[in-house]
Amino acid sequence: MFASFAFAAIASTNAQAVELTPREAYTFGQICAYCHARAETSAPVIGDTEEWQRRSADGFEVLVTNTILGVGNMPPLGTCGYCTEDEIRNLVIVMSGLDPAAANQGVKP
Amino acid sequence: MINRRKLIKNSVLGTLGASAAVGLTGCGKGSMGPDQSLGYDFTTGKPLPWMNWAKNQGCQPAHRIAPQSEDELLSIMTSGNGGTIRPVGAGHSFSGVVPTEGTLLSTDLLNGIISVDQEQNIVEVWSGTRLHQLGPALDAYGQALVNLPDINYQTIAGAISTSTHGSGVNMGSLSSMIDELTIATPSGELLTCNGKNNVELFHAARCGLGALGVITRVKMRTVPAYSLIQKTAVEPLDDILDQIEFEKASNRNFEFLAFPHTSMALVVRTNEVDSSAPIISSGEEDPTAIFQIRDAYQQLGVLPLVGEFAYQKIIDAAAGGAATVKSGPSYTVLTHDRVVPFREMEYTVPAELGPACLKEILATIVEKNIPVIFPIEYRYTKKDDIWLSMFSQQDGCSISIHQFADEDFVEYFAQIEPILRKYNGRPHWGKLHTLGPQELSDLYPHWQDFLAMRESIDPNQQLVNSHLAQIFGLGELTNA
Repeated sequence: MFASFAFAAIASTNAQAVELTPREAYTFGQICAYCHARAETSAPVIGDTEEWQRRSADGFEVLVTNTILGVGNMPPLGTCGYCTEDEIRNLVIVMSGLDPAAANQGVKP
Repeated sequence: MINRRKLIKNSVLGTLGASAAVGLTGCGKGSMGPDQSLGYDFTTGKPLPWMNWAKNQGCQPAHRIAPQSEDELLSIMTSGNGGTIRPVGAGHSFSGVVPTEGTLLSTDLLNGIISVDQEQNIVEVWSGTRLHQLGPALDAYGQALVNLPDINYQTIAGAISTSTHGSGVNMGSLSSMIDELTIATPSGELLTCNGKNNVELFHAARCGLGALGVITRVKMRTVPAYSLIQKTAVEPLDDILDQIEFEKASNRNFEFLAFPHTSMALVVRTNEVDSSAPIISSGEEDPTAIFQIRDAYQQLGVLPLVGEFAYQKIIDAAAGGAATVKSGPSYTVLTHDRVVPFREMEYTVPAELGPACLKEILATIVEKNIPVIFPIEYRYTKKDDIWLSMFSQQDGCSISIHQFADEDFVEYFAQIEPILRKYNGRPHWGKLHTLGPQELSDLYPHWQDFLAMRESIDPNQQLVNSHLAQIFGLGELTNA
């Protein structure tokens, strides 16, 4: 049912190793992209690797935590009421365009 | 919304330079209030917490579920889990309608258009469809909603469950656009109601706070797609209020945002325009511009005479700027980005009492020297026949009080809420208020009817959380 709206994600080369599930792809295209594909919202734009690298300077885990708890103008879970931790991680990898191996950096003990 | 007006931003920045030159001192952000963090944390591998958009409501639900069909939803409702189930949309409510330690049920994946009747102007849509998805989806069928709220992140179910509205004296809330809805009850029934069948449920469920079941699909009245032109300008508030009846009658959508501690307001006038006309965008929008105004305010402080005079000059300067103009398909003009986190209280007073109520609020802010800069939003909505709608049986004027999310809203709202109540205001169900069952009963002629409907559908209070128990007068819950 949720595939009834067209999915149009913009994924960078580094993120190609992550294959989004249909549910993740829907979330990415219909919830995440509504802000992150529009620069006027002031959200970091999908695939702006330089900006995402700056934001992940303290480790990839910071991006995941900020997505879940919210930070600045970013609402908690990006307003996704159903997203799981694994889904958030995959969405952040595709969103940022960072190498999935970076997910091992800065993991909390 | 003022926070998207670059002319304001420019004026503020320009005036700030002048202010610094004359050596004005300021009050710091630290004096404005405490840190209001809810304290939720994330540990990898542990269940995720949920918080609303404004981060003033949160919970640690035991289960988070997103059904993809009505059958799946019904099986969840009757699973025998026995715990509380609360539906959640986009989490834009400031009130505690969502939090539960039981099951958080997202409607997001019940999503998309089911059918469109272009002759009868009716669309059937799944309840989790977000407003920002619906606009372009309807446009593809040559259809549109007659009105929209200022923001479009919400789901249909969440928006109608709280009587979410835009502004327009001849237009009702989103709830009033519903011709039929289908709702999954805790007993596992799928009930369809409209103006002919299950009529009382129809009156209750179009603004049901998620207390009567989980809405799965709705039929909404639409209109042929249309285009709008929206003009904004900063003007003297007294002039606006002096000609308020003219403004209401001569604009399709009319609203304004009054600047506390000044005599000015940002007026937003929206009217239909030929769809073949070129799209206009004059004046760049900036969703974060209000931070510049706050910076100005904090640097100027709220010093008697000097501070207020300088702040007034900032807003006056904005009045000299060119008005912004925006046109295009209705769904692109009526809604705006609102990315600055804030907290909000909104009451709807009888339409004819709006000007007097607003004047008293603004006078109180000055008299008590309340340190607030966030503009006060002022809108009109047509009456309806929905039991718990803020516009039930009376045309309404909605007055919205905002405060930045990182500043203390409690004392400010507490000083203004009695004024809104004095004018027989009804609180927005998705926004902050302090009313209990007795006060709410006095405001809504069908309050007891709604409570009886809720009891008949959900006698075991499966859909009741702490907030709903408080406003319905159901006592303290032990497992909400």
